[in-house]
Amino acid sequence: MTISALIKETAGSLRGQKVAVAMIGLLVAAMCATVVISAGRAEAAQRQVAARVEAAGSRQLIITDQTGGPLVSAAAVAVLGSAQGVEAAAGIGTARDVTNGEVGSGGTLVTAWPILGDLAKVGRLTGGRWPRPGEALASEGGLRALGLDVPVGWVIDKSGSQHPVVGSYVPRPGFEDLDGILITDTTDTTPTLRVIVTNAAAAAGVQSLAISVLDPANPAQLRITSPTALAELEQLVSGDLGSYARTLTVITLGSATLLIAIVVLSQVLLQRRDIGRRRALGAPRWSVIALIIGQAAIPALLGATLGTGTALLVAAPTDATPTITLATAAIILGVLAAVIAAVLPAGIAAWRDPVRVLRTP
Amino acid sequence: MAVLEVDDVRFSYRRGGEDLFDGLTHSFTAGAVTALTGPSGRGKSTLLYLLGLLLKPSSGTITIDGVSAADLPDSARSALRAVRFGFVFQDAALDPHRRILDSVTEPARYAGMPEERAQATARNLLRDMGVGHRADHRPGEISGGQAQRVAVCRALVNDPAIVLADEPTGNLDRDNASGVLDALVSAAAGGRRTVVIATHDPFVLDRVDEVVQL
Repeated sequence: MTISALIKETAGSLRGQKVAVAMIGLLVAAMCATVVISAGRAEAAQRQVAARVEAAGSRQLIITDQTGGPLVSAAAVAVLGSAQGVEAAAGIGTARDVTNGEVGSGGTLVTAWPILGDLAKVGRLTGGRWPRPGEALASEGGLRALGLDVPVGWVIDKSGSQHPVVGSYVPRPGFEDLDGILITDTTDTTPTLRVIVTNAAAAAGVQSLAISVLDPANPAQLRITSPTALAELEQLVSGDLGSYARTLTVITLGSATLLIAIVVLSQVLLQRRDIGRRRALGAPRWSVIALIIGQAAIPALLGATLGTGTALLVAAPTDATPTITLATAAIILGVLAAVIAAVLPAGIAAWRDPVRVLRTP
Repeated sequence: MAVLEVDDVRFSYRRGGEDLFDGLTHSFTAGAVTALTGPSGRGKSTLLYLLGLLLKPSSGTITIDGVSAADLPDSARSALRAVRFGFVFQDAALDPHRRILDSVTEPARYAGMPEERAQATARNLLRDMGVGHRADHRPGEISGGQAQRVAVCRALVNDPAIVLADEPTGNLDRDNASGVLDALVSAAAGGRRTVVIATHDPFVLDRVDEVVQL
């Protein structure tokens, strides 16, 4: 028997099995829709968790000497700034209040931070020029508080230190809290190091490197804020979500496979005479097996396509739209489940004694 | 040389059960219609299915074209059934969801005959059997006699050397039984085929060339 004849034979035989075809199709459609929607939902949740963890604010590694003593040098910032897994690094001095130098002590207080390292990594210049050592940049909010329309003027702190304002800036991601005045550090040392890592997973390695580069005199006095725990939490949450989706998929697949096997077996029992006739007329066992498996696989393919398509349509307006890979995998799984479910009934059909069913009492 | 022979054949459905045929030996004559007959329970249909290689004898040999065939692997026996045998069942056993023409060509598909040739052969057979105008109908749309004549056409579509018929007239009235029997007799005519019929119908027994009493 040729393969094309077998395919034709299988397709033709489905005309007499409308109920079984509908049941297998619907079972596989429901199975695929459940898998696509649940796995898609889990996948979307994983993406959201990862996106939140990977936001710049969540990638901050901050190391501070709690005594306020010198910890970070310009050389250390330079080394860490060019290290693998580092997006930006800066030393941050102790915050202090400054006022507009023209107004004096009665002016509005604005927070200022001495910055050690490349200021371009901390803020984006929006007006004026980059400051030289001892000069300052003001954010838009800082300029307003100082009463300056343009970034030209000077600020003074309580100790009497004066700093010309030569430009304006907008803080970069990870440094949003430094919204006020940035002063180019002149002391070559700060008590705090802030590093923005490229991703949370890189935090642990960068943290070790930073401590080794900083070489603190008293490590016990260090306070470290690291996204390492966040990265671990992300892995944990992703693992839990993935595990939930896999469990649900396995249960759905298993249940549907069992139900399909029952439907196919019932159909085989109903087709006893038909199968006996085929065997008597010369159909080899393999063609009977292929026929029964084909009778399950064809409606399964239609059902899988229908179920997956419906799930995609349902999920389309939400943020849990499954990927094409997931949709394709669901269709393949649906057909595979039907094929596996049909193997045992097909074997029973092929090895059944045709004589018993052909004989009319 | 006979196309179909049995030598010292015995058969039992269960180990230690009733032994059928008691070492039957017979050579079926080509061109003759042979009836297997006997009281109910003596194994008429069973012998027919043994001859058709659907069952294996408990002992003895069944020879097809000079080759002992009963112990061949299933695939070889299936191929022999498709190419060398034609079957007519007690009820026509036509696929109710297919056209008459497709039912007739079914054995040709198992034998690997090209579809167009199979359809042309089937149409000729149906015409010769007087049911050519029913080729595109479904089995539910024809009478029992017509269905059995269609079953004879199906048995002949591969031009087999051996035709086995199990009570082919059992469900038919005399006129229809006569038509089916005529078709089987003409199938054997001219030494072309060996036709074996399992029957207890005296009407059939009167028309056959040989009778094997079981």
